[in-house]
Amino acid sequence: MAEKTYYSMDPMGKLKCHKCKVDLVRGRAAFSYLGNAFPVELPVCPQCGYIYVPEELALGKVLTVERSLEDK
Amino acid sequence: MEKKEEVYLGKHYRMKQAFGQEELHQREAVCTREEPPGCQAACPLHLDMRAVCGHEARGDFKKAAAVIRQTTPFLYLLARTCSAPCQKACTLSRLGEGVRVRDLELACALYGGPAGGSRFLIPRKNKKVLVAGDGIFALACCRELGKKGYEVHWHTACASFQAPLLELGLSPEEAAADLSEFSTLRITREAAEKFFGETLEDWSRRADAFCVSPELVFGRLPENGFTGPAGKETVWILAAARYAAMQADRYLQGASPEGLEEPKVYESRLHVTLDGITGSRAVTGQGALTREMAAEEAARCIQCQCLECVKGCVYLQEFKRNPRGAIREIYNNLSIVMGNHMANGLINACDECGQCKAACPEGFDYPDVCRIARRTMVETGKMPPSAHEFALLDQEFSNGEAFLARPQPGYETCRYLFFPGCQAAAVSPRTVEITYRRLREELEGGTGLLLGCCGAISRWAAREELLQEALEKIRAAWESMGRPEILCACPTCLKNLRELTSLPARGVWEVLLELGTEPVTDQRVSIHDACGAREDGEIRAQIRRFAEALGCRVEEMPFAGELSPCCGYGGLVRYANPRMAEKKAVFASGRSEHRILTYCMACRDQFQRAGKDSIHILELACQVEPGPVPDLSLRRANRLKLKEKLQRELWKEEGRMEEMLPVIYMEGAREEMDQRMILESDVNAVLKAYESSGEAVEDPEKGWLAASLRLGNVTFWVKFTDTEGCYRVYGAYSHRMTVE
Repeated sequence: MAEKTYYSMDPMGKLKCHKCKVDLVRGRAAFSYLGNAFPVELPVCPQCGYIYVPEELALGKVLTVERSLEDK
Repeated sequence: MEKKEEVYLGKHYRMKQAFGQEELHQREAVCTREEPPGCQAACPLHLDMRAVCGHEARGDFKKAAAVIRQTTPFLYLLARTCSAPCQKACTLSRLGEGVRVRDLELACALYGGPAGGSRFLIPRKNKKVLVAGDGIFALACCRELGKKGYEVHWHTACASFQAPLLELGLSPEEAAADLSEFSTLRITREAAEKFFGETLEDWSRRADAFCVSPELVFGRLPENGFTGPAGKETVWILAAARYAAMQADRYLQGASPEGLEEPKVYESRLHVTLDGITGSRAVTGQGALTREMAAEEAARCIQCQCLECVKGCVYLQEFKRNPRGAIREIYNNLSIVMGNHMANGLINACDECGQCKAACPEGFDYPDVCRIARRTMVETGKMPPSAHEFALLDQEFSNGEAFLARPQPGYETCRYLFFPGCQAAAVSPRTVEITYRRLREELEGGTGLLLGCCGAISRWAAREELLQEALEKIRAAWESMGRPEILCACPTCLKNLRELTSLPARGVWEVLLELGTEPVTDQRVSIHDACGAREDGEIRAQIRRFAEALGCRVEEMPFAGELSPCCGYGGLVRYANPRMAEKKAVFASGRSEHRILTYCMACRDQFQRAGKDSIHILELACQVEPGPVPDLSLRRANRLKLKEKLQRELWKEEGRMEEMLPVIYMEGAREEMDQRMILESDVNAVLKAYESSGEAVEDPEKGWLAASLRLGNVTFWVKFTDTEGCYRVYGAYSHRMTVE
């Protein structure tokens, strides 16, 4: 069975790694905060592994989860 | 304070109670808001006439009648014969005429509909009670015991249930209405002549318990016999009957009579807020009041309550809390082992300014509970990391990169040490510079300079070790300059130094006033008192003298002096809850139509943010007109530039400023960064990291790059382009989660 993913984003070939000059792909990543970890799928560079956290995600879901974990 | 209990639970959860339940109760008891109003305290039956008035004023006579019927069904009896001690105790009677309670009771009887009877079947109790007597005492006893489910036998010479009421002047219809509930109860009337010559002992034997009118009691009552104090007034007799019936009930249930008290009245402790309330005359008419007139009379009731703490505090109003209720919430919040801490936001949005404590007639200390709560949260690792981190980093910056402690050039030790505080240097560095020049030139014995933070930030954030570190830094500078007298420009710094250290300190305004001041204005101003001076009337008086010496025509505004509201900066609310801080600033600055004169730079800055014309008293003295509101980055840059300038000009030292990459901020980017608490130095660090690693994401659609860097507990992302040797920054954002 596939591992549960809390968020998934496919760059659909619209983003590039500036260093490696290749398209970012959907890749596995994990957000961690205050001892909690969440597997997610984010745009990742297939060569250097650079992970992109888009603004909407950082100020949306990530912020909400941060806040609720802080009040746990 | 009680000893704190510390409990370790398993591996992960650590809990520490701030204080025990006993202390919670003691703290709660200080507040009088739960005390009954004067009318209720003066009534032997303690009828809640405030609630009755509330319902009647809305035209809901049914609910109003139900409030009285909870205690007694005798509405007409009260309306006709009660001596209405509540009316004499009514707060309005001190200002004009008290609410005419008997008229309102009659309105309940007339318009409240028939008694509904209990919605639930009264459980029958397998016990028999005998009631002896001929007056309303006995009648009321029958009702009380019947309501409790007992089989009641009334021994009386009365020819009917109604007789005692008719004797007191009620019409048969009124008496019937008051007794309508009796048909649902198990009460039997038995003619007294049948039992002529029976003694108390006989009654004691013939029933499981008995209640007897006080006038029939001669000698000692048997164990199962009960009565109440003799009284002449209706309401006292009803209260005595209730007392007798409750004793009997306790006896029959095998419960202890402990805590059951004879009827009594007392003076209410409830403080009543009377702002804007004037006396008025009662609504009167021919005969009984109509519904409308009764509603009008009930609406005269001011619904006695204490709002002293709430009326000047935006925070309590916004959270719809009162301090008494809030401390219980906070207590519970701290007791949670697993689950959501719902009151964290409440705790961190209090500015701890002490306004509510000063306003409370009893001195209820709510900020103290917030302080204890924050300390406990820090100690147990439950303080949300994002709440105060930015502010604490600012303190670190003030006492690190931006720190400066030097004796006056040409002196090894000084008689004075000027300590402007972190906000003055951040908001108006020019004022600091001019004031220091004046002190150097005019004070004898040399005046040193100390640029840094007094530790207020860590005190508000409940970070004891950082507070001590800050105070130690000040102490060391003071020691190295020959123990000079510290001249503070900020009332909070002064308060902290006085409360937490033994260093000699006073306000710089006091010294400037002594040195002599020429008028510089003839403007009308209102003075906003800082929370740092809440407990110091002398500072507030000095500021007023200083303002007048500068030519100001001072016009006091509401909530002046020790009742001054917080500007929104206190308690680090500006960082933990920016929206709340904004609302506080709007309220505090909206109290005057004139320019507001402050003596705390944070207040001045907050008011200017709220769009209010305000000026710090030192700015006025130095003739520095307030510039535009500096954003977070500029506040840091101002401190660094001031330090570097003074170092270079006065001490001939070369300061070292961090090299900044060439950056152009696109429209709206800086404002957005300010809201998100992202500094130019953060952006600079991200771009430097990009320069060395080349790591970034290209977004060809939008045409920019996005690079990131983890700084401390935060990951910063910058959206930029890199063309023609210059970075153009379109925006920045951050998150605290790590990602890998």
